[in-house]
Amino acid sequence: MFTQRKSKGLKVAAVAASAAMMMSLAACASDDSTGDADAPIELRMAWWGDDNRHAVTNAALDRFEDLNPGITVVRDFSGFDGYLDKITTQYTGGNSPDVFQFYNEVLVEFASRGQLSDLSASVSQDGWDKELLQASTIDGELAAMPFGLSTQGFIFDTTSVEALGLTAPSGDYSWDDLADFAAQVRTASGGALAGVTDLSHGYQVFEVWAKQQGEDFMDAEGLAFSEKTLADYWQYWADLRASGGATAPDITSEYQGTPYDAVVAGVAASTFLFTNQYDGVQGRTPNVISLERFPGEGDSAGQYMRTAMNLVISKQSKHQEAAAKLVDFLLNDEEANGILGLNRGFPANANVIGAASEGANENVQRAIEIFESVRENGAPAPVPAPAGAGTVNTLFAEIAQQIQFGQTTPAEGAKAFMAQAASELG
Amino acid sequence: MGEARARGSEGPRARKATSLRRAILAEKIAPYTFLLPWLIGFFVITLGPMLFSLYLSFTKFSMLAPAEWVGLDNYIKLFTNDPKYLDSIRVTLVYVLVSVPLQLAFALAVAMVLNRGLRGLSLYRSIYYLPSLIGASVAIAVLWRQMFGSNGLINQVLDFFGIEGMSWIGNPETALGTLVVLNVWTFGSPMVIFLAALRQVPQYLYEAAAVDGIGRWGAFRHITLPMLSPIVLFNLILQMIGAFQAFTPAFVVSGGTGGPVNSTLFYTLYLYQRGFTGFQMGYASAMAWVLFLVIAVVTAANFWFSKYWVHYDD
Repeated sequence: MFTQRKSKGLKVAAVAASAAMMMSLAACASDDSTGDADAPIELRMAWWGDDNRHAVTNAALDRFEDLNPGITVVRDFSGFDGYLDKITTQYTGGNSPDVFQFYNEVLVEFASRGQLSDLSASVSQDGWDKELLQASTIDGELAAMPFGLSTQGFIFDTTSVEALGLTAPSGDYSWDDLADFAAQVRTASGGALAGVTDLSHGYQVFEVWAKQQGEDFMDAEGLAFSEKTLADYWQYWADLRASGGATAPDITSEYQGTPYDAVVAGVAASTFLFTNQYDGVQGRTPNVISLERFPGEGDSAGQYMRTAMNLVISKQSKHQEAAAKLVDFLLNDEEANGILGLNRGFPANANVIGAASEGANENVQRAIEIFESVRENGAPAPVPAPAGAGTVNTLFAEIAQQIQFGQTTPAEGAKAFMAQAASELG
Repeated sequence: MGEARARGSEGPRARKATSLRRAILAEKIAPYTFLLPWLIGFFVITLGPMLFSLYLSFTKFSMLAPAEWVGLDNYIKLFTNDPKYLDSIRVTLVYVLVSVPLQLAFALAVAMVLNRGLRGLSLYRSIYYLPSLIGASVAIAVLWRQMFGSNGLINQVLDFFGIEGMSWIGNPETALGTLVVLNVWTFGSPMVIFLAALRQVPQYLYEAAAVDGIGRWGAFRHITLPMLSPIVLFNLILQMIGAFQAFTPAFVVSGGTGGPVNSTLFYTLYLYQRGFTGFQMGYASAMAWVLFLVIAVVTAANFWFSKYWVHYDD
């Protein structure tokens, strides 16, 4: 009797399990698109950002709906945490947004698996920099278009620096100048203030360093710099830690994700950021923060016009045409960019920069100056890195931290990085 | 059975038998009907995905392309070619082995203090229980990050005493320690269970022991602890399983990196990194199943060892 009941239970389990499987199969199989031209279309768009970004984006989407009766846009917005998880999970379930904002590091993972629609024919590229679009072209398809550009920059807390009787570097200054300045800040402040946050773990900073040497961080094949360049870079920061110019390792680690917070908190006098972050950072401190290009830019420029974020269309979207219309509106329409402003960075389409930067405050004006100087004298944007690049970025920070805490040397660390990164990309 | 049914239509006696059988059948079905919501939840939401992840653990699966069967490759790589994985195991074991005993000892100590007939007991009980409710939340992890940061409350207090602090969360030597303290701080739920159990210890045992002149420590050692041992086992198993699966505090305090230098790389955090930021869901599934087996074995071992120290008062 008991065994009989047990087997019945198992049978129920099997039926339920297979029913569940069939349901999920049915969900996968149901994306047949019936093309009725006049039927109302519902698009879903996802993005991450702050409240201000949500407000301007919603306003722009409202305007799009006004101009395109028959298309409604469902908005799916949130902060950055968990954004990638959400998009990936929705993809796996066959339920991705039609249009979404996306970041550089994961583009290749999606595009190389055929998950992003080619935008080259469906969205206008009038007013766009061809080299820049090349950087978003993966396997011959324009997988994404920049939805805001920025460039690297260096900030200095001039109020604190002048209080110490020093002058912050500006204009053309070398990496050695930065090192001298940083050590002076530490000494003049009696040890209380570091001259610069330790940036040895920042692959985005190293990328500029490598470009200044005529190399690159990564290209389509993988690592694109020599072991010596990396060892020199890590040695530079080791020397700065030794002189007291850079932050101590535990402080560095605490501010790893957002080094500019260390400047706002009064822990360090300078650090790197992206120009689209400058206005926000200045707004959070009463001190005057100056924005400059990187050290070493005078000799050979390594900064470039960098895609801060992209706009992409999912291959899963059943409304490719309407989705392209929305992307075109957000990227190329003057009115839309007037509404969106510079929250995401500078528009990549040169024809709409004017509309977007109208009424910009002096901080933003300064960011525009730096950005325009890079447009005139800068390095080309890097081509898309191969899949697995995200893991390599993590590895870069990990080994740099081991050096910071004295677990290995710059030379040994560079050697280990080259080997391990190659195996991750292989 | 078919024969019985055929005969059943013949006379009143057989009809009665049929209705009886129906009643029995209804009685058998009824409980399952009531259980249905739970059963559907279990099979569709829990067991189904679990079995699917078992399948995935034998595949290479990026979530964006179909899964590719690779046999045992994931499991082999875990133990032979992934030093970071071994780091995550080490970190997790230290966390479980240090934070769980500390937490239980703390919970028992507070429960015993509260058990001494304090006025306003229910108020204290609520206050001490509160961290258990919110301890695993993002808000508390953020608070922890602030408290143990270089400009945090802890350093300000140390500064007051003339001690120079450091960034507790930024130092590989102490970062895991701050997470252990966080877990110990959430001692409320084992404490409430201990408190309830302490009330069940018969008072006459203490009275008899007092007559024998056993003393406070002896009473604790020979009466309280043995009488509580089933509850200790219960709390131990529950808290160990929880500690093995801890994720949020490490994720928030380290900003998702498991740093500095992998010192807070909890098992589940590394699993998350592999699955969701490395697009290796097959590999992550294999990790999940290893964790499942480890927890199963540890729990079984707990039960097995319990016969040497758990006292059931029948």
